[in-house]
Amino acid sequence: MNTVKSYIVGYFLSIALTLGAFGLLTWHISTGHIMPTHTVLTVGFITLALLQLLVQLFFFLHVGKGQNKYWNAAALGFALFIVAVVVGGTLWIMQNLQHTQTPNTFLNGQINVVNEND
Amino acid sequence: MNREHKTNVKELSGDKVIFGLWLYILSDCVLFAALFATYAVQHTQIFGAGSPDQLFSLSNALTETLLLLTSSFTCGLAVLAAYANKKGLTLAALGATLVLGLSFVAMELTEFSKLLSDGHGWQQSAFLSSFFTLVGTHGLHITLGMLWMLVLMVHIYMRGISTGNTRKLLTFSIFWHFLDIIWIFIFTFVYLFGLM
Repeated sequence: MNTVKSYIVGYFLSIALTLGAFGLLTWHISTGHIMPTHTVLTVGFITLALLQLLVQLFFFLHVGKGQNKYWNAAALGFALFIVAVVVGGTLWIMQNLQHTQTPNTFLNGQINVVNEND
Repeated sequence: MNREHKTNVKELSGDKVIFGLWLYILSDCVLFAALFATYAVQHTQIFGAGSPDQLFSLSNALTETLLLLTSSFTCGLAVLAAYANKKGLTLAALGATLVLGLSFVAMELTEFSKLLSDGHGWQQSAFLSSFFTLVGTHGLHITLGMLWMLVLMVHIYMRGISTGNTRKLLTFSIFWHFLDIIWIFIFTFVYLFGLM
């Protein structure tokens, strides 16, 4: 059911993914925050984190195995849906609020005293 | 003996307790989602206090990640050792997990106390409040997990590896792997993005 091999493979994959993300950031910092660009880094970090999630789920938590696999997977799917609603919904709403926020209010800890559009 | 133990493993894979634990883990996941969402909204609100790229140390965060990943691995080995009915090996693997977990918490507390002594406490800005809440909640889970691990080790030491103890170990390992996953996201969204 759970073999040593699965854990060893999972362990090395997770270390490799972590070092990959670390390497990307070190490269970015060593070039004075120019290369790779922020967009590339954002996509890279999120991809690596999601791959890491899959590695942990399949190699360590053995999702999709055992007698309860369908119930386990259904509950996981539902939880991921709630997580997406909570995180996605929060970011969406808060971004809208910030976008429609009136000037002369606290923004990033600084006060916009003068509104140039007036 | 060996054959009897194989039946136990099969029983455990369809166990209701394991499923119940899984449901708890997933609801805990929703709790962390709320904390991550709060952090995502607040991390730019630094209010004149330190920003993420001034306060975080990449090497520190990487070491913490490697410690936790390794502890997750040794925890998995403990489960395998219990399936193979090897008491000494199970205890040794759990002991290694405990030491790695302790080092992780020690590093985190050092980081927190440095932030506090430098005047970057949770009351300074919305960013720091949400940072301490998110990372602190994870650290609290780890600390309670280590207490759970200690009790589990005493159980296994006193009563040996029974079906009941193997099930306890399996529930613990699911909890521990889950904390590892949460940390991966803290490492990515708090530390890597913060230092970018």
